[in-house]
Order: sequence, then C-alpha cells, then structure tokens
Amino acid sequence: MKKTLLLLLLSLSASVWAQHTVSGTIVDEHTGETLIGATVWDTVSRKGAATNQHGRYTLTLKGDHAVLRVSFVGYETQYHPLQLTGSQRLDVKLHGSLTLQEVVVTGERVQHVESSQPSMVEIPVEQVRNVPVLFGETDVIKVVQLMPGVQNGSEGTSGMYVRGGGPDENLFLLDGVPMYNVNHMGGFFSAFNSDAVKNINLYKGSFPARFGSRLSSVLDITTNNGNDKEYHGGVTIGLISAKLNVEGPIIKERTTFSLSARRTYGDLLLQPVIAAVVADIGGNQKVNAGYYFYDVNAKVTHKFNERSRLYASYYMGDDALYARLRTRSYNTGSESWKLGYYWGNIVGSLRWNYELTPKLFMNLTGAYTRYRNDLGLTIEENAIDGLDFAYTSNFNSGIQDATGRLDFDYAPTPDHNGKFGLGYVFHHFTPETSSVRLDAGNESMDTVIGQSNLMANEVMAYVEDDWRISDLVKVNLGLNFTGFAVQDKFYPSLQPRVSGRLLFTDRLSAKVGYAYMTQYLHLLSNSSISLPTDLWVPVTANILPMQSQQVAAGLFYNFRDSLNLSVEGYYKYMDNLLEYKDGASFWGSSAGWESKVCMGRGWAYGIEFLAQKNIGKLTGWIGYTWSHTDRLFDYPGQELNEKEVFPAKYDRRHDISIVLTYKFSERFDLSATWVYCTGNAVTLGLQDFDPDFYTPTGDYYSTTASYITTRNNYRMPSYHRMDISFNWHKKLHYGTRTLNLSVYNAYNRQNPYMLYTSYNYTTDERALTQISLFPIIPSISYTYKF
Amino acid sequence: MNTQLFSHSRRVLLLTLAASLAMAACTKEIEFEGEITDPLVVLTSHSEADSILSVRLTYSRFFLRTDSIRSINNATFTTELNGSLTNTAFQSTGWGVYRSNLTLRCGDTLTLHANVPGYGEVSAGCRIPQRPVVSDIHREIIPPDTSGDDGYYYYWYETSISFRLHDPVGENYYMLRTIWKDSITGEQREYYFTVNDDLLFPESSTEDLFGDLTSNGSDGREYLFTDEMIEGQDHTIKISIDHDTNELKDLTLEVCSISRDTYLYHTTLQAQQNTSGIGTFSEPVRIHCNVTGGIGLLDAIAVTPIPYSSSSTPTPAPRKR
Repeated sequence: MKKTLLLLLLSLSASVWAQHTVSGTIVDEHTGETLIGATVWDTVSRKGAATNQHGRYTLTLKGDHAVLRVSFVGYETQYHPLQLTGSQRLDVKLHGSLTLQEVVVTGERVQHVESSQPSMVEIPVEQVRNVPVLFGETDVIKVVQLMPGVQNGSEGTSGMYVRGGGPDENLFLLDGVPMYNVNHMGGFFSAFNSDAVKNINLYKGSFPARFGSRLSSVLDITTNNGNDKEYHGGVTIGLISAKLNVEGPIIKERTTFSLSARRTYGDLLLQPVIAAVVADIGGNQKVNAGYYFYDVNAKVTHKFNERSRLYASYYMGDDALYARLRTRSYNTGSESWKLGYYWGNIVGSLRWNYELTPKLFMNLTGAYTRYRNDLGLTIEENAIDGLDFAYTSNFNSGIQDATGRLDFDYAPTPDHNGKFGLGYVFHHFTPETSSVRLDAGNESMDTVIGQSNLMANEVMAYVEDDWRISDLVKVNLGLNFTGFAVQDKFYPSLQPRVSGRLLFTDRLSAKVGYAYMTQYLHLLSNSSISLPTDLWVPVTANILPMQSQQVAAGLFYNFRDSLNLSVEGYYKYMDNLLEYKDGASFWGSSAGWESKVCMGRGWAYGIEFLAQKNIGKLTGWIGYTWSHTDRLFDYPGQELNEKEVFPAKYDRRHDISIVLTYKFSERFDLSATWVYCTGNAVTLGLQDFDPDFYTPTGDYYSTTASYITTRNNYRMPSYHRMDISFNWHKKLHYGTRTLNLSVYNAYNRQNPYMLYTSYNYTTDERALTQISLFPIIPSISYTYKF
Repeated sequence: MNTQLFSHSRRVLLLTLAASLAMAACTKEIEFEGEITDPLVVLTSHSEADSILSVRLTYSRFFLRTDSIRSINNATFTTELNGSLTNTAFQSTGWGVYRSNLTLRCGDTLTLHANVPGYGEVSAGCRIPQRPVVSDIHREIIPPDTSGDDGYYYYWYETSISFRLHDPVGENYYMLRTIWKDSITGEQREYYFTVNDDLLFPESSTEDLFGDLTSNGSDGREYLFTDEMIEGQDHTIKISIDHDTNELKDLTLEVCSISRDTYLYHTTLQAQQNTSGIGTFSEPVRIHCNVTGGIGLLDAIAVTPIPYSSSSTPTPAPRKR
C-alpha cells in the first residue's frame, strides 16, 4: 500500500514538474483595453483557456513546445510559437478587424461550443449600440430582453423575467458590484449607459459557483477601462437626452480614465412653457416642475506593472421628479411649496488585481452600493415680519451595502481551471422612514416614524473547478455557501453547482447543468405599473429565503464558421416565492408587508432556440422561447387561489425576437428588431353575480360581485412590434459623426398595457378596453466621436 | 395628523403619476377573445340557529352583458340534516327566494341539494356552530357634554359595552354586529359601531389607501375576526356606539359564531368591493364560495345577543356646564 502511494505521488510529481505555465493579458492593440472572453488555444496539445473579467489568461501545458492561437471576435487572430521552458509570460495585443471573418470565428466557436457553461449568452456590445429603441436611447436591458428565455414585463418597464422568475430575482453586476434599481424614468430606460459598457454576459441558469444571492439570472456588466494611448470621446444629442463620454491616458500606458455621462433635458425645455402658462394665468407666482434623470460612470485604472492593476469605478444615477411653487405678495409676504421625489443608485468599487504566481491570480474588491428612494415636501409661509409657518416632511427608503470580497483564479494543471473566494456584505436596509418637522409659531413638532434601520450580515464562500476530463468531456463543479444573519436568525445555505459538456465534434457539443440558488432579499414593488415604489426588504423570521433548483440541457452547434446555433431546455423549481394576497394594494408601504404576502412555490420549463451571427455584414440573432410558468400557494396559512395551480403573471407560451443589423458600407447601416410574444396573463372575473350580501335583518348591500375562477385566467392580446434604425456615418477631419434615425413601433401597433371593463351609458353596453402606451415614435440623434 | 397628511400626499402623488400615465396613453375597445362562459347558478342561504332555512337561487351573468340578474323560481330541493334525508318543503316566494319549514339548531349539519331545470344540481353543506359564550358584560353610558356646544350633538350618547368572550379550543370565527329593531314597526337594520381592540383588529390593517383584505369590518357594521390571536383563551372585547337616547332600548349587540366559509365569503367580498374601480392597482380578489356545481354560500351562524340597555343601567342625563 505504501509503495503504491509512493508511486502515485512520484508520477503526479513528475507530471507536475513537466508542466509549463503560460500566462498574460490580452488587450486591444489600439486602445489598450483588456479583452474579456478572448481565447488562447494551443494547437499542439489542443488545450485552451479564455481570458477572465480582467483580460487575463493562464494556460498550463505539457511538452516542450506550443503554438498558441489567440483570437477574439472582431480581431485578427494571432499565432505565437513558444518553446516551453518553465513559466512564461505572453501578453498579446490584438488588432481589430471586421473583414477577416474566417479567423475570427475560431475563437467564437471555441467559446460557443467548447465551454462547459450552458445557459450563458454573451451579448455583443456593438449590437447593443445598434439596436433601435425608444426615443433613440440605446438600452442594455432592452437588448437583453430580446434574448430567448428573457422576457420584459410589459411595455415601458425594464423588469426582467428570466425563465419564469420574478423581477427581483436578477443580479445586476456593474464591475462586479450589485446594483439594485436598474431603471430610469420608472422603467422606460435602464440605468446602464451603453457608451460606458465593454462586456455583457447573461447567465440564465447553471450558474457558476462564484455567483449567488439571486434565483434567476446574473447580468454581469463590465465597463470600459479607457484608452491607454490617446484621448477619445463622443457626444450624442437626442430628442430627450444628451450623452458625453471621454477616455484616455492619465499616464500613458499606465493610468487611464473613462468618463460617461448622460442627462435628459425635457424638464429644461418645459420651463419656458410653464412660465408662459403661469404668466397667462396671472398672479405673482413662479412655478418650476419637471422630470429628469442623469447618470455618470467613471473609472480609473492604474497598471503598477504587468502583474498588478488597480481599478476604481464609480456610478451615480438619479431620477428626479420635482415641483416648486412660489407666491409673492407685497402685503402678506410669500409662500413656497416644494415637492421632490428622487430615486437612484450609487455604486463605487475599488479592485486590485495581482498575479501571485503565473498560476494564481487574485482579485481583491471593496465596494459600496446604495439605492435610495426619497420624497420631500416643504411648505413655507413667510410674513412680512419673518417666518410664520414651516412644514417639512420626508419619506426615505433604501438599501446600502458594504462589500468586501477576495477572489482567486488558480490553474494548477492543464486540465483544471479553478476559482475560489470568499466575501462579506453588510446590508443596511431602510424599508420606510417618514419624518415631519413643523414650526408654526406656538406649535412645533419634530418626529420620525417608521422602521428606519434594519441591519443584516451576509457571508459567502465558493469554490469551482473547470475540469477538462478528456477532449470529449469537460465539467464545471462548484459549491457556493452563503449565510444570512438578520433579526437574530441565521439562514445558511450550501448550494451545489454542476455543469458539463460533451464535445461530439469541433462544431457540435451537448451541455447540461444544475444549479441550486438561494435569495435573501425581496423586492416589494408594484409589478403592474411603472412607478418608483421599489422597497427592498430582507428575509425575516417569518419570510424564508427563496430557493430554486434548475436543470438545463442543450445542443450547441457552429454552422459554417458564421452562425452559432443552440437549442436548450430547462426545468426550474422555485420555493418560498412571494405573491401579494388577494386585495393587497402595493403602494410602496412596507408597514406590515409580511401580512400582505404569501409564500408558495412555482415551476417553469421551456425550450429556447437561438441563432446568432456576430460577424459579417449581416449580424444579429433570432431567438424563440416556448415556456410555461406556474405557481402554487398551498402552504398552511399561505393559501392563494384556493390552493390550485395558476399561471404566473408573465407566463408566456411563445416569445420571438429577431434582431438584424446590415452594414451596407462604412457609411450606412440599418438595424431592425421585431418582437412577438403571447399576451400577459391577467385576472378577469368572467361572471358577475348578486352575492345576496344581506344580513338576517334584511339589510341588502346593493352590489354586484365578480366571480374569478382562477388567478391570471385571461390572456391579453399578443404583443408585437417592429423598430427600425438607420445610421449614417461620416468621417470628418477630427472624427466621425453619426446621424441616427429611429422609428419605434414602426407599424404603430397598439400593444396592451392594461385591461379594464368600460361601460357606455348611452348604449348601455360594456366592453373590454385596452390601454396602450407607445404609438409609432420617430426619433433622431446626432453623435460626434473623436 | 401631519404624518397622515404626508402619507396621503405620497400616495396621491403616485396615484397622480399613474393617472397621468393612463391619460397619456391611448385606449381602445377590444374583442373579448376568451370563452364566453355560461351562467352559473348562485346559491345563497343565510342559515341561523333556531330560525327556518331560506334559500335564494339566481343565475350569474357574463361580465360584458348588462341585462338584469335572473332569478330561478322553479328549482327543487332535497336536504340532509345530520346525515339523514329530511322531508323538507320549500316554497318559492319570488325573486328566487325559497322558504322552507326546516328549523336549524346549533350543532346541526346541513347538506342542501338544489336541482335547477336546464342546469343540473348544485349543492352545499354547512354546520351550524355553537353559540359563543360571553360573560362579564359591563355597560357604560356616556352622556353628551353640552358645554360650549351648539347643541347639534346634544342628543347623541356614547354607550360602550365590554364583555368576555370564551374562545373554545380549535379554529373559530366570529362576527360582531349591532342590530336596531323598531319596537313598534318591527323594522330592523344594522347600526354602525366601533370596536377598540388592537389585538383582534390591528390599526395597521386599515393603512392602505384602498383598503386590503385584512381590514375587517372597515364599514363599521360588521366586524369579522378569527381566534388566531386568542386561541382557546378568554378575551375581553370593548365596543362603543353613538346613539340617540330613544334608540338605546332597541339596540342589540350580536356576538355571532360563524363558519369558516362564512368568514371567507364575507371578507373576500368586502375586499373585492374595496379594491374595485381605481383599486385596479390592487391584486384582484377571488370570492370564496362553498357551493359545488355553482357559486355562492350556504351560511351558518349562531348568535348570542347582548342588549345595549339593561334595567341596571339607567340612562344618565346630559352633562351641563
């Protein structure tokens, strides 16, 4: 036995000694921007690796020589012959090219067919910028919603429903830091400025162990580091907003910055109109009112040396709805009335990358994120001789997180690519606080009511290994542990994650995955209308963490080096889901919220088809989803719908998205999207009846009641829409200008937003009536890039 | 008061936003594309211990139709009392109402089958609960304070009654209501009153702008509650009522044991009424029924009456300055 063990150790040692590690960073030759997901493939040993979120790769190889093929979509492939002697560093600068399709595809195929990760889609940022959207404002979330398996709520909302999950079950990561509210304008636009975005990965299932805390999806967004050689930027002016982005070196090839900002200016244009109306009415009044949103993305990257980098990222975005009224009188003094509603996020992070050894890479992150939702009302009356009356009310709600996280990438052998790490999050919830201050001469008051502070602590640790068992089989094994402490309760959760790939040919693979997820946060939100009423609350002693288990399996095929095809099926079981009770109204009040909701379970299953073409003159994708999502609330004391199964609100049988961009020349390109989906499920009482709601005393309540057979028993009309966008680029002396013409809802489809029963008193008839939001909306924008 | 004002301001702002959105949007009438369902038979019967059984049968109506609710006057019935068929006679009195000769007692289990020509059979069952046991009844009559008053409230007294409710072990449901019965004409109706009980009726439950399901008795005429918070215990309940001195002798507080079905029917019906119209921003409410083959409720209650006046509590004279 001892001899056998010794022999095993010796052979393992010999195998380790014969290995050579090649590591480095892959960047764009012109901008110095790190490339995420670029592939490095040794054509000799047929081993490969992809760059991580920081553009870094590690490849451990056997033998004495290798030929590394380095490729990335939209870049010219490079080959690097190497004599393998110990650990080596190979940093690669790729040259961008859109014409060399053949070589570009190789990297693409490796990722699509070879990776062990099913249920993941990489969304091309260039495509995001081309997809036509409302008011010409490009929108990351709207494009993500065009992917199979992802549904939007209803028109005008940014709510995402992934594989039957709810809108609060998606983890939005901006440079690795969670963002809570990703909406602007009550959901019409998302908070992500596409100018600042470098990479978008969407995970719909089979989540790698490094991700956690949400049930249904992870949208991992990485922002630009900034050009490390020269200054570049752009300005866009559209119908409702303007954008600016600038990037460049602070210290050439060492320290870079990237800054993007945008703001809507409808409120500024509105002020003269309001002033004219007020002047027309007369009186000594001054009125300001309007709505705007803005966001700013800033990032500074410093390269200490090839092994060490520091990233500082900052995001700030707010929506503001305001009204101010001021009345002056020479006799009685003045009166002012101010109402402001502000909501938005701040996300800041500091990350330090360090290559401890060629095989071991570390990323240390400290982050802060805050979502707030504040309403303020101030009324002041000033008499000629001083202050008479002052009243101030504030409503505050929000969540703040302070996060510390340490992640490692470790590639000990050619066939293992491991990741492990741990993290801690301090949550500070402010579910709902109201304060009132009154100063009215003799009467004064200063009081605060509501639940102001609720603290929770969350810890997590994970380990995962991407293990290439053979050329045919590759698996990703992972384990995620999270623990959540709140109100003297501790909820631990151990979540296994497994995915695997079977490579039939270079072009065809089958993948399968399983993920167990736990979520400790709930979003109390009105799902039917777009209002800034989001309230984040943690699990409590009574409301248990949500859990899900999902299995997914699919076939992935690369057709003629130009088209990636996939078909994927999934089944997801969810437990401790929340639904509002019958009759509960959701006007943002968190008081007693536990009594307004029920806990139940649900399941979703479906099949997704995706055909995606990312290169050539014609790019885009066609996606189709067939799905089914049900809910059952039958736990004792938590019953809904008479303990019968009912379809989820966003259960949709069919969902089709077609996104196409055709580049006629360097000067002209045309994009079009067409979406179709089955109508949302709504609840209609199909029979009216006299409830005979009388008492034995003979008092009749004269009323008609509505009998609802089951929740969500009726389908709204189906939703479909076509958007078209045309870009005209022209090279100018110092840059390029782009004129964009977009048409949203090109054939003016009146899509359903809400249904109600109307009554015509003249004809004594009732009718089902539909509210629609957006008709055909043309828009124009002008962009200048230098 | 100011915090309430602020709270309402916030909700009104949100409502204004929603209304603006709706106004900016366009509306159009659309075809109903689902199945136009056939009318259902609605059976309602409010059975009370020591009273005769009466039943009402009507048809429901498709929600886009505007014709009147149709009564069913040609149904036949069979009844089972405590598991045995009874020879109960039912007589149609019009408007879909049938009166029987069957008197129900506490503890009786009733199953009712109604056969409607052209529709089929609907049936429902209920058990008449035991009367609630109450004790330690105390009455207090507070006369109106006329000092500095313009006399408008001169005749209005406030009477409060407290009593101890003995809740038996098990799941129990209750209703409180006040009945005014004219001693001369015999006319009777329900009367508004107030229950001051934070345990059974927490204040937060009526916080929503449009009300919600937990706002029991929000109309002040019927207060429904469960024994969830007082399971198997004695609990003292205090109610108060404003009344004219002349009405006191005609007022009776009724403490009722009700069935779970009755509780759910009434609370869901109230919740639906509260959330209709502008409350479309609330979750729709499915009304609980206990009728097989149709909809409606076979009700079951048992009443313990507590008169507001008693010989030991003479009406005091109004206080004067």
